[in-house]
Amino acid sequence: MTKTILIAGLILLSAGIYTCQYPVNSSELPDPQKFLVIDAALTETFGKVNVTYTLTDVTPQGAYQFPVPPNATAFVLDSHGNRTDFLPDGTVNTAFHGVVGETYKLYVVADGETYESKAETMVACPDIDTLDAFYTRESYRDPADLYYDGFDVYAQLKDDGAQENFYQWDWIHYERLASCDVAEENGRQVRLPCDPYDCWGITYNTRVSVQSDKLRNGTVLAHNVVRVPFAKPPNKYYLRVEQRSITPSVFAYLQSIETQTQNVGTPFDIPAQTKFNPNVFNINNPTEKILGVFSVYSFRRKIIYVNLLQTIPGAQVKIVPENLPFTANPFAAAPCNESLYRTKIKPEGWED
Amino acid sequence: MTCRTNILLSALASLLSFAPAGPITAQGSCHLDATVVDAQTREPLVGATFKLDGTDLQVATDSNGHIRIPMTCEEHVIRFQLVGYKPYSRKMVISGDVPVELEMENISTQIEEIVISSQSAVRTMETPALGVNMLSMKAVQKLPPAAGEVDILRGLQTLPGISAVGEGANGINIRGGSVDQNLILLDNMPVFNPTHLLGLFSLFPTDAIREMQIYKGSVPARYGGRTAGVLDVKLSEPDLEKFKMRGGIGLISNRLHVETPIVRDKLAWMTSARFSFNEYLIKFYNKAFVNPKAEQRLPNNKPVFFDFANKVTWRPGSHDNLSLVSYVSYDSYRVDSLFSIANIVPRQATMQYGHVNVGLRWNHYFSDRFNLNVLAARSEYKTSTAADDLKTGFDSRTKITYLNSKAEITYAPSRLQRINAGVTVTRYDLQPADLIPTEASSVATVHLPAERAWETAFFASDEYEFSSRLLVEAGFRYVYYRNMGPASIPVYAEGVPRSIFSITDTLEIGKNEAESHYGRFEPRLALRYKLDVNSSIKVGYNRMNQFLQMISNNSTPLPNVRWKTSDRYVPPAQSDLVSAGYFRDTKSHIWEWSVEGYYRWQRSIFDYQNGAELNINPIVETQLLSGTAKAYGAELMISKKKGVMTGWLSYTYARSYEKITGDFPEVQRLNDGEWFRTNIDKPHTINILLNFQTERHNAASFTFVYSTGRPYTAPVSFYKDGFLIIPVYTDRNNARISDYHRLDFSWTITNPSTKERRWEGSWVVTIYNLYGRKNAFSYFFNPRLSSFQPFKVSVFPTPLFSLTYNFKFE
Repeated sequence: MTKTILIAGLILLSAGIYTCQYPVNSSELPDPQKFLVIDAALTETFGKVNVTYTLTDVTPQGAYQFPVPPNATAFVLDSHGNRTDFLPDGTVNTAFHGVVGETYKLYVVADGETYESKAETMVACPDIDTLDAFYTRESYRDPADLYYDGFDVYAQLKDDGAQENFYQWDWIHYERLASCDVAEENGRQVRLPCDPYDCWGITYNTRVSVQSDKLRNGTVLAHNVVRVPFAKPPNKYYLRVEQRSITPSVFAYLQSIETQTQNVGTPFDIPAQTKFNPNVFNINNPTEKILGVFSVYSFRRKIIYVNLLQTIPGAQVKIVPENLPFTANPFAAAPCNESLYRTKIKPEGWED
Repeated sequence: MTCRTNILLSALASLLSFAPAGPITAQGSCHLDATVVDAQTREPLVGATFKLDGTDLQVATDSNGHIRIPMTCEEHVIRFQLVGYKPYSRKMVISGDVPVELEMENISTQIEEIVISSQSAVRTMETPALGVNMLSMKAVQKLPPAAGEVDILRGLQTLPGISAVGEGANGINIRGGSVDQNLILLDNMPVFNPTHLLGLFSLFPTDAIREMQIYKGSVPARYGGRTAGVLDVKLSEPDLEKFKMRGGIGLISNRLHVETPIVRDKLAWMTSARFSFNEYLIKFYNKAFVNPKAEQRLPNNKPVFFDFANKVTWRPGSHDNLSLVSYVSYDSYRVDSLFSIANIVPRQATMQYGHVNVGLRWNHYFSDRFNLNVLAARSEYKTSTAADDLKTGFDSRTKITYLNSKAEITYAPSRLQRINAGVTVTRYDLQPADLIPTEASSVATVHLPAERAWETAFFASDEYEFSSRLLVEAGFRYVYYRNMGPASIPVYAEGVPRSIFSITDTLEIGKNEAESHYGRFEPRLALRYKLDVNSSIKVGYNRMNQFLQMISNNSTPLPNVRWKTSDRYVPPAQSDLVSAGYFRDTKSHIWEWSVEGYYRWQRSIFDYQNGAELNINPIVETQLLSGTAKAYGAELMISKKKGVMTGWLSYTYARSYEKITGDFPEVQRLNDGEWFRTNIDKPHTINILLNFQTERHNAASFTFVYSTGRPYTAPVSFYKDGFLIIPVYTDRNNARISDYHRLDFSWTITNPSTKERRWEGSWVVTIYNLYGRKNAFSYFFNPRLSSFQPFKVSVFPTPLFSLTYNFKFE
């Protein structure tokens, strides 16, 4: 009897060393406030601007409502006074070319107010010297977790020691789609192949990934960009990594987003803070709290294929199951419609 | 200075002594003139209650352990009682005025003691100190422990005015103070991180502890260096006469305590160890019980901890007592990405930390009125945070070394007066951060400059009983602090906020030069005025300074948090506290109640800039925003001291605010430069502790805790940035998490058949969080989990059963 009690106690007690996360009723939040968001980017090859408002209301059904964006016009001026207007869709003319070393200022007119950015200088971005994938096991995960065995992809560059530099990384993953839709056939669900055959699904980075060369100035700098699961399909994992040289104010802004959206949910969280007005101000009311940032950067890209067919001692490649069968109709297919997450355009550097 | 103080106090006393008082009366021309001391340490015992046979009269010993009572010249039964000590009872013929010394035996570590109390009622009435609680270990051991671990810090949180930001917090908050504003002493050696397992359990070796005193109001002049409170934990003295062993087998840790005489009545040794090895239990639990809908944190970590205390006591004669103490603690924990260092967020990190403390103490009793106490202590706290990421691996290390020597005398020229004075010298050596890359890592090697400082303090206090009603303790502490070179100090441009871009020059400070220095005077005052035999009012005032501060912007500090000595840019924090209280007990001393109020204000406190980089930053002053803080509150406590049911109920109303304007308010102020709630502002707190003991081998305890949810920073809007939904935060601490409440139960069963045997065992069954409330530690938003859905972090969100076997062998 005593032994039984002891075992039961041992099992139940071990609950002690953990914390959990639970959803909370969102009605406990303060009343929403409305802010203007000005997000703009200017690179060597393109420019874009997006002027919106933050969320202002929550419907009784719990839906979140973003107000209609303001009518806005925007342009940039370089240090020589050359003006480039943003088109109504928020982009610039394809003839535009940003120049490394040049300084740009953003001007936005929205709701009758004029907003001006600080002068931001485009900093040269070093090449991605290497893009390597290293197998690791994250033993703290459950073995069934897709990322338990995986590859850490590191971008490595030679930092310019002459000045303090700030970097951002982004990535995009393309994967050929085996099917483009699901249909019902003879009372069961089946997959339909894509039409045309060349159709790719797109996966984007959803994390902020920034790094300064502080403490590593002038040395080789490596950054863990993304983790690729050791799982098939595909047999080789296409990844295009973009490395950006960003300005200090943009770095500080992105870093604050990183802090408040990642690595949260523990008793040791850093209290949340938002960095308003990193580099855009209302010229008539400089204290108006503006969100977003005007990012001027140059970038370099590199593509890596992670071989998921390789044999790694001790590692077990996972097979991602596809539960539905293909259609039996050889003529049935679903169109590959261009969208944010699907494209017919062959990705840069794609290898079959 | 002391004389002037006495004159002033005498004048005050003469004014107050016109008030009617309930006289302590007895007949006869003889007196009982006794000093009550601890049988082992020979330290005077304050508040031991004397009961005159055949009367209701009860009188407590004064702060020097003295009592002088007029009695008839005949044989009497002399009885003394004191919480934590075996009642003293002896027939004695009282004749003339011959002083006697009475010894009381410490039994505070015997778990079967019935009385559970924070301190004796008479002591509460008699002493001038406000906001002082003595908690014996048996009182703490009666509290239902989380996961079976008897925990001093959780026990203290059942007292009014003491709280924590939540379960798993790395320390306690006293009357609006942050965790680093408490001086925590373990047998006179400071403790810089009082918890194991990232805050889940306190690190004190419970079997070795005799008692603890917590000062949240009146802080005696002999203590300094912190601005909020003092927790003084005393280890028990090893038994000089017989071998003793006790311990326990728990599910988190196992304990063993041994004490034995080496030379009978002269030399004895005590060792107490606690260690854990429960990794397999956590893995098993995770597989069997974790709710898959709730994302689990800190899983499959590898927690290991131990602590190990040793004490050797030597009594070469009746007038001397020497003790050598050592204490070692160690924690190793593998954690998910909880933090970043130098912009690197390691996927996982192994965090190791611990103390290595040594202390030497010599007590010499020149007479029963005059004694000398000499101390030397060394405390070292080290942390290592190692990440093994292939290209960004590192080991970040910090170290604090504290050296202290102190000499103090206590002199009682008469039974009405006690003087305590001394000098203490402290040396701080800090290694704020060493960043060492792993073999293939591209992280740079960084060694932040070491920090060195001297803190010298003189202190004196005089406790004087002006009349049977009025007792005053007045004192001061003068601190002279020097931050020493060598150092390269950046010089910042005038008129702009300090930043790396505003550095105009570098000032080189030589090896033995002072980089900065501060001299601070700290008056201390405590006053008791007895309204009658069973009630008194007290008033107190403290000023305190803090020269070593924690630099952390986490909700609760991580063990590897950075500490910072005061310098020219980071001046010492200063706090003033005024408090007043009314104390009353019943004639039978069964019930006692008190109400205390306080107001505390602080200068030179720091908050942090948005996105502050604190860990590896040689110019951390550029990240700090200076400001002021205030806290006020009222504390009500009702205790039942004796009987089948004992315990207490306390209610606390407490507020805590800060105002951060920085040196350049127009660009640095927080919350528009207005007062705002700190994250420990919990207005209402109720603690109920009930202990039932109907027979000697059965005891049950219930603890109920309620408090208002603490403030947190909630988003006031959201916006989309690419694929992210980003919350927008404006004012800090603009909302509150949900209220906290919890009920715990504990049942201690002692086998009656072993009661009179040398080996005695008992089982403790505990259910922590009986009704399984998912109390929130904090709220957060994670766009990766769900767009706008707030989540809460809960620690111990389910009922937590535990079973512990305790034993003792004597």
